[in-house]
Amino acid sequence: MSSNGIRDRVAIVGMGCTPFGERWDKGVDDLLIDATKDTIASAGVTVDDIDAFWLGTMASGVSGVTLSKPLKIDYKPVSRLENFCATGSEAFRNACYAVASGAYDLAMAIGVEKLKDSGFSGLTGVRPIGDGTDAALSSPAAFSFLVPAYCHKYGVDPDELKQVMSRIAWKNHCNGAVNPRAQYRKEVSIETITKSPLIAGQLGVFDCSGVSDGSAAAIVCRVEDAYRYTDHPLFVKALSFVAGPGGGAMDPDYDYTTFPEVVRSAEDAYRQAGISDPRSTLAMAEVHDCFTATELVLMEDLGFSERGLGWKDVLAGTFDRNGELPVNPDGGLKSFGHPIGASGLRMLFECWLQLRGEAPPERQIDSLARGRTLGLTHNLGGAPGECVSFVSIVGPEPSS
Amino acid sequence: MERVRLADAGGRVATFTVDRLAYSLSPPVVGAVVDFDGGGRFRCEMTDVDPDTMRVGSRVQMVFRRLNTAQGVHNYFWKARPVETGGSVEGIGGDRS
Repeated sequence: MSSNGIRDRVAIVGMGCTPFGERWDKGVDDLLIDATKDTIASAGVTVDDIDAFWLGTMASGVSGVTLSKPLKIDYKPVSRLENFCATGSEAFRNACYAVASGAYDLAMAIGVEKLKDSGFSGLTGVRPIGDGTDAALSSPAAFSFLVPAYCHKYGVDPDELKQVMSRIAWKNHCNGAVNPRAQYRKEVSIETITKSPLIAGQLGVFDCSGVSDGSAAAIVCRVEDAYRYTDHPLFVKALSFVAGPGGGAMDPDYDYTTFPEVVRSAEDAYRQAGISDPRSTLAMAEVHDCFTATELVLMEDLGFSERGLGWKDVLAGTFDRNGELPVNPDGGLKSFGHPIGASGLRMLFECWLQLRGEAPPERQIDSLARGRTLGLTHNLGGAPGECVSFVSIVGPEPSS
Repeated sequence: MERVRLADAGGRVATFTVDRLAYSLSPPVVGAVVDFDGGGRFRCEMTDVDPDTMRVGSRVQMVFRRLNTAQGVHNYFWKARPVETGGSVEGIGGDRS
């Protein structure tokens, strides 16, 4: 098996991201147009300059026409794809390979989702009808399985773990509060978070990410062309995507304290980028905090914390914006919101701002001043036991 | 592939949740991942259970129960219920769903 990577062969030369939230004033078309306008302006190109398009959306449109119509694309290839909540990252990954192969010179990846219009507070289903025998658990419930399993395995008191989860939500709300594009721009006290009504298991309202509308996009080209478009491109160091065999719901060896898919995609990405110790190397990480318990487990799966000790690092502030390794400095899914198809590209957008020094002073990460340069994005789809995982690593300098 | 009858195999709770969003005939939905004695795992709804008594490692047994009813059609399938009743479980689950 090979996963060779395309380190330093592709660069991001423009990015854009709409505000996320309850966008009653905007349709899917509007969101796509807004994100595209910001992105092409950032790269200094027009839509006509772009050779091929990848559109990620889970349930807000089908086929390339969802994009070609609002953008009035002039008879060019537009792929529409879906890969659970990692849909936006999947669009990005495919656009990168398209330019790396030489098939196209300039490609755009764009993600969009409009979740609020359904009137349903959660994800609208797109799966085929089953035989009616499945335990129909909600998404928060499926992820809440992590909590008793983690407490049991590592001997953590459930009340203590609840504090850990609350601190993750508190951190991400603090970060989102100073981000003008975030859905929830308010700091929330740990006490309010801890006491919020329970949704599933020990997950309360404030442990869940924002159901949101929004769009984000990136324009990519081969590295040799990058400086034609911008003085400050972002180089793609690693792209890894895995779909797991999905045996967790049937296999007693799976213990609900980890996402093996994340472990495997992270190992692959670190190998591609030549990273041996992510915690002391990365300047920042944007991770898939669909629920606070997910973020805790991800700290261990991504190799930032030792097994069973992630909760201590959370309490120590290791992942705060001014901590050793800032995680979700833009507010994450928790506070920035989670319009499925857009989220993976939103994560990259934060790397684009922070690593190139464009994030405003009030929310800049200070790890850059400590000589760190690389950003990681992690995007998860599915549920514990059967999921897909994406990890990318990007940086502002070509590797020496 | 060999078929193995698990209806009478006891099991233990690997992890669990109380789902306050999902629909059930007997709300709130108590969901569990059940590991059978001798191997095999099944994710299902619990029944005849007080949510506060759920623990990792609790013993459960399978029971054939009504999952849902739509347009007059009843759909029966397997749920799990606690084995060690120990007082707190008895007298719960009056509608037998």
